[in-house]
Amino acid sequence: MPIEKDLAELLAGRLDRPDLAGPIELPSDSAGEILDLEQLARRIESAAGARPAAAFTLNARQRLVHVIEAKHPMGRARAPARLGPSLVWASALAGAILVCLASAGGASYAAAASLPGDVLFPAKTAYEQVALDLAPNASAREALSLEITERRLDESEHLIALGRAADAAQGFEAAAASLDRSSDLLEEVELPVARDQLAGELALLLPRVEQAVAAAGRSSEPEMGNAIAALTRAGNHAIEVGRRVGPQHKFEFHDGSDNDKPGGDKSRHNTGAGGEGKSSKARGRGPQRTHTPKKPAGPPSK
Amino acid sequence: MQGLNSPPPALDDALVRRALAGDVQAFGDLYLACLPAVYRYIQFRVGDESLAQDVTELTFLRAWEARGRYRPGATPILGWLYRIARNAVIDHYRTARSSLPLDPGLADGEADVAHAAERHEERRRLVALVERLGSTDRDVLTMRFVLGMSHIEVAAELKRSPGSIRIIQYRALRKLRRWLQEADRHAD
Repeated sequence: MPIEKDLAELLAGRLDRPDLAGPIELPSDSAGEILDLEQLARRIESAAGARPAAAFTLNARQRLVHVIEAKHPMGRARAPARLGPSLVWASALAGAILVCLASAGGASYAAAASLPGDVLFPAKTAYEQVALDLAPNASAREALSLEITERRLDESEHLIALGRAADAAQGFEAAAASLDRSSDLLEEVELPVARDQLAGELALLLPRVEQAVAAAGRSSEPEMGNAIAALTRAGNHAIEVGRRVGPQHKFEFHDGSDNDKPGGDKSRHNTGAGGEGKSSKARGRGPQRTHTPKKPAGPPSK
Repeated sequence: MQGLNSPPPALDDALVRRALAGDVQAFGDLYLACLPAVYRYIQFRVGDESLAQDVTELTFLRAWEARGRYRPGATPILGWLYRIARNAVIDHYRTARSSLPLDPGLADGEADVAHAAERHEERRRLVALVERLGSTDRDVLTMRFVLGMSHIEVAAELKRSPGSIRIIQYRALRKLRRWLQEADRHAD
């Protein structure tokens, strides 16, 4: 009777030579087993036989090189970084790649559906950053920035509903940063018509920020304090810029600390439709989301 | 630009050394050369195409970041990438529970739904069994039959002799066969 080592060698030999699939000389009492095991190995090979889609492969190299070089122009001379602290960086780079993926028709479901705190969320934000970088002009950049701000608010409120308050706090802080960026970008828009329209968009986003501050205030998560402070600071900054750039629009922002102020009625912001509580999406840029989209978000239309 | 019909760059030591020394263009070539195998593994694990694409790219970006840790010549590049890919998949499974289906099932627009369902079920079943194996058995079978590495390459990666890899392979396949037979008996 053949010993185990011999059987292992026989099996390995057959696996290495698929052209020997016909009759083979095997010990009669082991032939059945060897053939069974070979067949099982082929089953694994077959189940793992997927190939990357042509659209994915086509620009794969270009995407990777572009992203690495864009993020690290001195990549050739750069000393290798440690893996641990670089996790976020790497994820962010992956996100940048997704821009190219989406443009190649391979929109990324996973990253687009990620929420703050998810492993692919840095990819999503990197995707957005590259989209901002690639925006053809200041107005397109500002429009996209406003949309991203609203998206962060939606995601954070969705996270609160999921009970992920710490992640929601992170999302609110990201929303605040995005709102700050939107305010700053508004000042760069030179075309008067676009400037006026985008100032209006910013004004109408502020009720959403108020709503977010209120939602954050209802949470007992300690980190929400920072989020509320960031949102409040960003809201006030938006008012300051908005009143200067678009004085014809009504810029109001109340952080909930002074409910006696005019316009302090938060209920009008909770409807999500009609009046000043209506989001920019509800006003024509698409349906207003109440949670993170479940389908991939492609690159913004320019 | 790499055309659809262009062969992937040859995966030789010189390319690996240049890529891991920080040559971005060489790393791009390395990516193309290793993409099919790495993607195959990730798709085998996660099932979903777009998710597999995401995790594949994340894997290579992590590899770029960790390139200073790789010692050319000491272990095969595919084995090293397999470790990174495996960790990327595990990270995904750990963090995506609340927002993403981990194994979303059949692809939209699948022409032959019944056939696709069979393939899907077959893959799920085999993944579950392979993951049930001990780490060495699992790594040997995965590197051999999913990544397509030779006995010698697997031996180099696992710091064992090719002969011992062949024995581990034989034993692991026997184990899998027994589990499959038991599962079939229970199903009956």
